[in-house]
Amino acid sequence: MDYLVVNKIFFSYNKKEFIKNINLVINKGESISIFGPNGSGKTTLLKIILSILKPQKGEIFLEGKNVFKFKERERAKKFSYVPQKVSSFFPMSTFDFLILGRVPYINGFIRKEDREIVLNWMEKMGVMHLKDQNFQFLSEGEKQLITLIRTFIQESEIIVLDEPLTHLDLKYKSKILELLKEIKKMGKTIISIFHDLESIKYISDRVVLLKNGEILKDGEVNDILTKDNLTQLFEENISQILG
Amino acid sequence: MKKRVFVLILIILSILIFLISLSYGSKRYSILEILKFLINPKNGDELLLKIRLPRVLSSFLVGASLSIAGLLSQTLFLNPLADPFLFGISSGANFFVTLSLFLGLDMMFKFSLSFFSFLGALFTTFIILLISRIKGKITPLNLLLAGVALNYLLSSISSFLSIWGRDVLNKSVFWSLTGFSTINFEKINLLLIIFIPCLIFSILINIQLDAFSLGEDEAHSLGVNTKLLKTFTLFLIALLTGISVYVSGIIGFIGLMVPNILRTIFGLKHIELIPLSLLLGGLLLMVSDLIGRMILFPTEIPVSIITSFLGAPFFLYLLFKKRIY
Repeated sequence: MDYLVVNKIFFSYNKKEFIKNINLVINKGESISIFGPNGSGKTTLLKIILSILKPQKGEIFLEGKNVFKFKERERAKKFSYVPQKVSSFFPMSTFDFLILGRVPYINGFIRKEDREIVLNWMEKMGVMHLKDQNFQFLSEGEKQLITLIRTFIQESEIIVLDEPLTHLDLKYKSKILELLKEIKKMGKTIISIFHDLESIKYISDRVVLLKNGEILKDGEVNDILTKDNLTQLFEENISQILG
Repeated sequence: MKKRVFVLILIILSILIFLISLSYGSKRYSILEILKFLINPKNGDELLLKIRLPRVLSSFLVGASLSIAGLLSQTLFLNPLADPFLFGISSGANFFVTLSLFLGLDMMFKFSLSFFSFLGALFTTFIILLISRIKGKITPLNLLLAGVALNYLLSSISSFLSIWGRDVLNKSVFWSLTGFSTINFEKINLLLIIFIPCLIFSILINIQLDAFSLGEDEAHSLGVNTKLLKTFTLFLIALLTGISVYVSGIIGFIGLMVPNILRTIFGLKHIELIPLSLLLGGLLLMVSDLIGRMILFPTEIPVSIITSFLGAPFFLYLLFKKRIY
């Protein structure tokens, strides 16, 4: 049975079509990137896969089960999300931020074992020094790193990343990419959006080119990220970027 | 350690202010007399039993209700400046009460005013929530301005109705200004019937509220049924604000001050913030009511004036010093 199936998805908002007839089959343990110009529908597609947005037509199946029919907690045990920018509206410690990864497993009150899971991961990832610091005041790099660590705590099978490197300096970019490589080795499925081709080449097995809400190309990274395909995608000659 | 000391101080101060509030007034009692009365209330003075005790208890409970409503509003609207008063939720409750007085519906059934107060709060919270969803995103400052505008609109309609129907003016002015001085145990029982379940349910959804503090999409991806949580929280805010306005009229700023003070000390966790809001909110309103009774004794100043006097500078502090927006 196919692992994750995106089947004939259509999504429009305010009479504008953002996603048009998207079909994808993603295998377990695969790392797939969605690449395309601004406004091509990348984030919309991720949000549909996460069932944050509900499409007007089409379904998404995980191991044969429609994800829109999953209970919220059940879904959160399967999918975790790392947004482009993590913002906290109120003061909270890094530990309190991380323990939210246990929400799908908690019935009302945080248990001792949940605290231990968080502390173990903090120890393992070398971020214990951030435990009591206000998450709001961490650097963007630290925030992304912590959010990625939260996906371990959430124990999800599929990690969905929406441009996680955008606001980061070189140090944290390489740290996050290394960690993603580790996540891949663990056999987790990664669905990501990156703005740069290097990150895609480093992390992904497969890339989907998205243009105006439709799939332009889908295949192995080296076969797809060619000069011709990218020129067609951006409608510009981008040979300088490819070097 | 710091947190424990804070809680201990809160508890001691609450007990102290409770005792002083009972002892202070036209007739003064010693603390010993108050303690004797509390041990055996039936043998106590009528004044203590029927006037002072209900007044002090209700001021504590209304303070607690408004603080928890403020905390829930801030989480629901993802806005540290959210408050039932500033966002016009209290004015909405007041508007529906005035409207029911105007239409002669106030005697329709027992506690009908409290029902209309709840409906008004629910209506306004829902409107604010709709405004907050305009095009998916609205800045926190714009949301606040929308709330303030709604506050003025509803207050002006209430005033218009009060002037139009003269009988309404008498009733509504009496109802909104008498505050805690006309309270009785029947009202306190109603307050408790609403407050206790709201408190329990707020605590039961504590972890979902924590997750919601990161925004709706993140809460969703963490396994929170955000639609259900929003609806549920909206009802809790409306119930707590509605009953508070019914009991004491509009009291501002408690719902803004208390959660913000607590968040800076205790951070995110609603499991701590909810019971602490109860304590600090109750204490602050008891103190405000006591100050209102003391400052121009024997004349009483309505408690809303005292809370605004304390709250407005705090609001400016939040806005400029903390640079929230």
